[in-house]
Amino acid sequence: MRAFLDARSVPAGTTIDTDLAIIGGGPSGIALALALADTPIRMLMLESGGSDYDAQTQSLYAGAETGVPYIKLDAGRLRYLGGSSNHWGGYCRPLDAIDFEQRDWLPYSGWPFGRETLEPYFARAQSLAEAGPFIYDDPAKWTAAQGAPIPLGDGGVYNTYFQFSKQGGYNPQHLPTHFGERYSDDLKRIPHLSVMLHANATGLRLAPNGAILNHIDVATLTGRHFTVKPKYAVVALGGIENPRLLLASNDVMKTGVGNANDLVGRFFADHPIPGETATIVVFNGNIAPYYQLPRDALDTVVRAAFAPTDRFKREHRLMGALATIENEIQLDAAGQAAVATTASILGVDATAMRAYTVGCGIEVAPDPDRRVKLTTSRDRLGMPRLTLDMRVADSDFASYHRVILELGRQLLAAKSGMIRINRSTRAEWMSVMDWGNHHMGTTRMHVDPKKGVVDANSQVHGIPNLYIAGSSIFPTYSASNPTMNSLALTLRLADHLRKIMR
Amino acid sequence: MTASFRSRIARRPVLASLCALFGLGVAGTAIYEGPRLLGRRYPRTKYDDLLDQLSDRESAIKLGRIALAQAEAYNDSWPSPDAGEAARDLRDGPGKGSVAHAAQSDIVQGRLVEVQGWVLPVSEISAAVLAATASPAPA
Repeated sequence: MRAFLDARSVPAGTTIDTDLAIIGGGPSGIALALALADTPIRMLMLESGGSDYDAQTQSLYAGAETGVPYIKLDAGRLRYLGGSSNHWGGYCRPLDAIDFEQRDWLPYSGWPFGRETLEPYFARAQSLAEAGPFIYDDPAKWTAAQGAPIPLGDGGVYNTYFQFSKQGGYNPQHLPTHFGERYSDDLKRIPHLSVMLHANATGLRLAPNGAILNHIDVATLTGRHFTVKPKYAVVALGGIENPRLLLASNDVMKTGVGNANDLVGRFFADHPIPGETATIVVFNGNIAPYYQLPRDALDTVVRAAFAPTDRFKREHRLMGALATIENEIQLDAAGQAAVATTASILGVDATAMRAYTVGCGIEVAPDPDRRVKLTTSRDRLGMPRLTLDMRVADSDFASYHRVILELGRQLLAAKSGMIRINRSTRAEWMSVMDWGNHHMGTTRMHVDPKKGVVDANSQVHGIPNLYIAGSSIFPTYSASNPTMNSLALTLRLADHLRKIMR
Repeated sequence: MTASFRSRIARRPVLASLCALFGLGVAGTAIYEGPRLLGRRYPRTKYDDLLDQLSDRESAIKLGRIALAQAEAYNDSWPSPDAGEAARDLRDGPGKGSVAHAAQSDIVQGRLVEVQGWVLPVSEISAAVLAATASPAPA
């Protein structure tokens, strides 16, 4: 096995030649290296951090924020090998077919390809995330053992399922997979890969004509500066640092690399996860255990949620949403009166009823003004810091409200339960707001350079040897958690690189 | 006369008093709870064809009052505090006088309202408002 390199010991002024530079050692960077392990491609992975958390390195993420309250830029991600997989929740769920579609009622929607293009990669992505067999919406076998799903009447919401990343190997109880820790030995076994820790990419330097990436500036916190000269490079720094590096690399293209059309950094997105958005009552008091907590089932870990069908989303022009059952609560007098009256009119026995809070993850509509921009403030490496203008639209909340309303209708139709919607005004939504730390959209994918930063192959428009990996290329965001889907996109990118780098 | 005989004599008025008290209690309970036990606690109204369908009328009254208070607070025109209007909706609506059928129709058709956030069939609220307006106001 090859030991990891330490950039702090590279002599200043060194130029390192390589076939492929992978900038970033998070899930995407690691997945890319693993996917190309059987090729002769000489790879160099540049990771800013070491193998563990370091406060000085983490502080390079610090930035400013405006708009609605959001998580501090140095708090919602991690800057060491494995990246933000070192603190992710492990939730996996594939994108829905509608997520790829251009919807005339949703501006800026439409991926360059459909779900069928990513489907061949889902199983491998799932395997990398160690989320078990791909059984998302085929729950018949394990629900038979663990209890039936909550009955819903016909309608626009259905029971769907997350699967969870579960780190295997020496620590099978560990949830979820921390990519750095889990795959370090696998990376060391790749003969043509060098992993260099403490190596910060500080500039993407284009040829004078701006048509090709010439080299990458690298710096360490100890003051070393050197150069990497790759034939190809993939930027895989996450949804906030990807645009930062592109925007800061403005010596040749004055607006930043790939930013001829002022798109880099725009369309930032995350999943709002406001708490206690609703109360669900189950008349007979029985809910299967996989609703509240992840449960083992058929060599995987699952949790149920409620989601709108693609058809319902189309009919009502809605965004995605995933609603989960959380904590049991006691109803107040009004709630007891509502339940008793409803049960009596429906002719059901609700004497054993139980009530729970409902959490959620919401898809937001693309918004070019929700963006990151460079500031005049600089970090210890001289890189401009970012400011994030965070926004969430009332229509995003209204869309979720419509989904929960439909869930309530279907519970009544099945005579299985009922719903209280706990939030109605913007102030109420914002009072319980939290975010998923799913940074997406800032280098969006589109076949038209005027509408996207990268093309259908994840190549930066106009720069044939520069690619971007990760959820920053998502044009729309789904309600599904991005990691597994981002891995699938990265595996697809690996196939593309395998072809063009022969 | 033995001490025990004297004791029995002395018990007679006591037992009689107890019996009288018990009788008064039974009578009082019967007067107060009798109508409820017979299903007729509430004053007769011209809406009893609808109200008698509410097996948990107390809860319906509470729910109706909450709905009316919400309408007043938000200056909503619906639900109306007019019992006649609520009754007309239930008798002439899709349930043809059956609250259960009307509620089922509402659920299928998506005719739902939020009362303090609770997602409920419109006809359920009509019935609850009817129950609230037809019942004496709380003291």
